[in-house]
Amino acid sequence: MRVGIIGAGTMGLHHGQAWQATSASLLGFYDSDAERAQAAAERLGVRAFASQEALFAAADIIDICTPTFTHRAIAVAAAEAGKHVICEKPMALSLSDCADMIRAAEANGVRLFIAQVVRFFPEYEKAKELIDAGAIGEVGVVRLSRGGSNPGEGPRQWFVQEYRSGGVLLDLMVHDYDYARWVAGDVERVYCQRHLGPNADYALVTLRFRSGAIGHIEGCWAYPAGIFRTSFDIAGKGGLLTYDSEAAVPLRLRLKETEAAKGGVIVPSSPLAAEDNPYLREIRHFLECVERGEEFRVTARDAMAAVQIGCAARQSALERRPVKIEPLAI
Amino acid sequence: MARIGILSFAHLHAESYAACLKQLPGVEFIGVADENEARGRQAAARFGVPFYSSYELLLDRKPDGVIVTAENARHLPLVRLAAQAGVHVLCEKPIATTMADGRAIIEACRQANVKLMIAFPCRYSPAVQAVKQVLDEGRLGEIYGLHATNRGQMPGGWFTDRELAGGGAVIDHTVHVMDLVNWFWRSPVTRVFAEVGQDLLWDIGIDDSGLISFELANGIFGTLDTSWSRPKVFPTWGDVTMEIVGEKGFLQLDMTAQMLQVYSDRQGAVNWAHWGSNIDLEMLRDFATICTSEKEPSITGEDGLSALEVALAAYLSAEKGEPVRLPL
Repeated sequence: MRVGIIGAGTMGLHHGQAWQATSASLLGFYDSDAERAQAAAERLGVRAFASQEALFAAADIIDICTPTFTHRAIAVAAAEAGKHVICEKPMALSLSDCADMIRAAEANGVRLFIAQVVRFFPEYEKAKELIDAGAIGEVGVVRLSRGGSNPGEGPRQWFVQEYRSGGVLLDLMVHDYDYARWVAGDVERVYCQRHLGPNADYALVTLRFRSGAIGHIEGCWAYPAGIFRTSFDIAGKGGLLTYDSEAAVPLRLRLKETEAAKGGVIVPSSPLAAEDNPYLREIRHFLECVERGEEFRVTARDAMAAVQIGCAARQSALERRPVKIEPLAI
Repeated sequence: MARIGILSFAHLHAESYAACLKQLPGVEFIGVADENEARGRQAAARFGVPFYSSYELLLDRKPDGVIVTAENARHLPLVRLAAQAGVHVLCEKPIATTMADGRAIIEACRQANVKLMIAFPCRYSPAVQAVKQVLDEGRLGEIYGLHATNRGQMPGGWFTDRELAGGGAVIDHTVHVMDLVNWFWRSPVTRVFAEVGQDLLWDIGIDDSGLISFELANGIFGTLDTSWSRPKVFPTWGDVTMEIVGEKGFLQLDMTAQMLQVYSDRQGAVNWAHWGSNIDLEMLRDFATICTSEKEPSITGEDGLSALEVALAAYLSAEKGEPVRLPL
C-alpha cells in the first residue's frame, strides 16, 4: 500500500514516522504550506507533493493530518478518488460533516478510519481489557480528565479558534468521549459548564449513559506552559481502576538548566518500546483491517458519536441545560 | 476548663471526636449520652467517661458544650434539648435532612442564646487553609472553575437509610466541599444540575453516586463527585480533592495526601496511614475555646444550611432531570 499524508504539522510527522515502521510505503506529504511539506519530506526522506491531486494520483491511502475544519472536504475528495482514508480526530466539526464523510466512503467502497488514538494507548487499553474481564464489575462512575496549556500560541492559532478546531470541547475532549463510550456504552444526556476566553478554554462535562452509569469529563487548556496530563478513575460494582499520568512516571530527568517548553502541541509520551508506540499501533491496526477487510476497533460511527457528544456539550454550555443525545441518523 | 459531652454515638465521627476530647488540654470530656444504651455504654467505657442513660441527665451536669453526633435526621431534637439547657452545640454535618429542620436548629440556638457550630473539620486542614490564602491573595488571578471530589467507601448502617440519613452518597458527601466553596468565595450557589446514580456501585437501594454541577453568583462554576466509589479494599476511607483553575495557573488540593503506604503481610492488606495534622482535633480545640470565651463560631448554622441546600437541590435536579435554581 502506498500512503500519502496531507498536513505536515506535528501529527503529520508522527503519522509519517509510524508509517515508515509498517509494511506500507510512505510516498510523502502535501501541505498548503509548501515549505512545511518540504521540511517534513526531507526529515523523513520522502517526497513533497505540489498538489493534493498529485498525491491522490500516487497513493492508495490518504492520511489526513490537517486542521479539523478541513477534514470533510479532503476526506470526501479522497473517497471520491477511490482512496482509503485515515483521518485525525476529531472527525469533523459537525454531525452533517461526519455524515458526509461516512456516506462518501460507503458510496465509493473505501475504508474510513478516524484516528482516536487513545484507544491504542496502553494504559487505556489495559483498563478496557480489565473492565471487559470483569475486574471492577459493571461500570458505574467514569471520570476522565485531560489537560494542558493553551495550544494556540503562534502559528497554531486555529487550535483555539472554536469554529476551526471545536475548542477544548471537541479537539481535546473527543478522546475521552470516545473512550467513555468504549467502556460504558452509548450516552443519553450531556451537561456542560465551560469557560472560554482568549487564553483559556476549560470545560466540565457530565454524562448519563444509556446503561444508567454516570460520567465526568474534564478538559483544560489553561495550564501553565509545559504541562500535559491525563487521568482516569473508573468505579464499578466491585472495584475501581485509577490512572494518573503524573504518577505513572518511570523516569524523571531534572537538569539544572533546561529549555523551557515553548508553545506548540505537546504530544503525550511515556517511554515505551518502539513497537508499543500508540500512533504506530493505531496505524498498524488501520492497515491490517484494510488489508484483511476487518472492522476497525473504532468505527467511523463511533468517531461521529464522539463528535455528537462534543456538539451536545457546546449546546449545553450555551443553553445552560442538559442536552439529550439522539441515536445517530446514519 | 471546657466541659464537653457527646450526645449520641450514632455517627462514626463521634469516635474520633471523643478521642480528641480526651487528648485536648483544657478540656474535660464529661461523658456520653445515648438512647442506644449498649452503644453509649460501650463508647463511654472505651474512653473512661460516665454514661448517661438520657440526654437530659447529661445536660443536667451543666456542660459548657455538647457535640451532637446523632443520625442526620435526629439532630434537631438533640440540639433543641441542649439549647434549652443553655449549652453550646457542635452539630455534626449535614446540619439536618431538610431545610425546615436546619432552620429550626438555628432558631432554637438563637432563641436560647447558645452558640451553634457545624462540624466541617476540612476548614481546619492546613492544606485547605493554604488554598484559602492563595485565593485571598489573588494568586490564581480570575478563577474560571473547579472540579472537586469527596469520594468514599460505602459506610453502610443508617447512612443508607433514607429516613435517618436523608439520602445516600449525595447528602453524605456534598456538604464538606460545598462548605469550602462557600468559605473560599462567600458567593452563593445559584444553580445546580446533578446526575445521581442509584445501585450503580452497591445494591443498597439508595443513591450511591453523584456528580453535581454548580454555579456561584460570582460566575465561578464547578463540579463535585460525591460517589461512594472507593471499594472495600481501597487503602483509605476516601478523599477530599479539588483542582481550581484560573487565569494565572491552577492548584490541586489532595487534602489527605499526607499518608504512609503500609504493606502488611501481618494484616494481609495494604493501608494508607495518615500522618498529617488531625483536623478533628483542631476543630474541637476551636469549639472548646468558643464554649468558654466570647469567641463566636466561624462555621455557623447558616453555613451548614447553605451546604445542605446544595445537596437537596442535587436530589431535586436529578428527579427533574433539569438544573435547579437556588435559593430553593
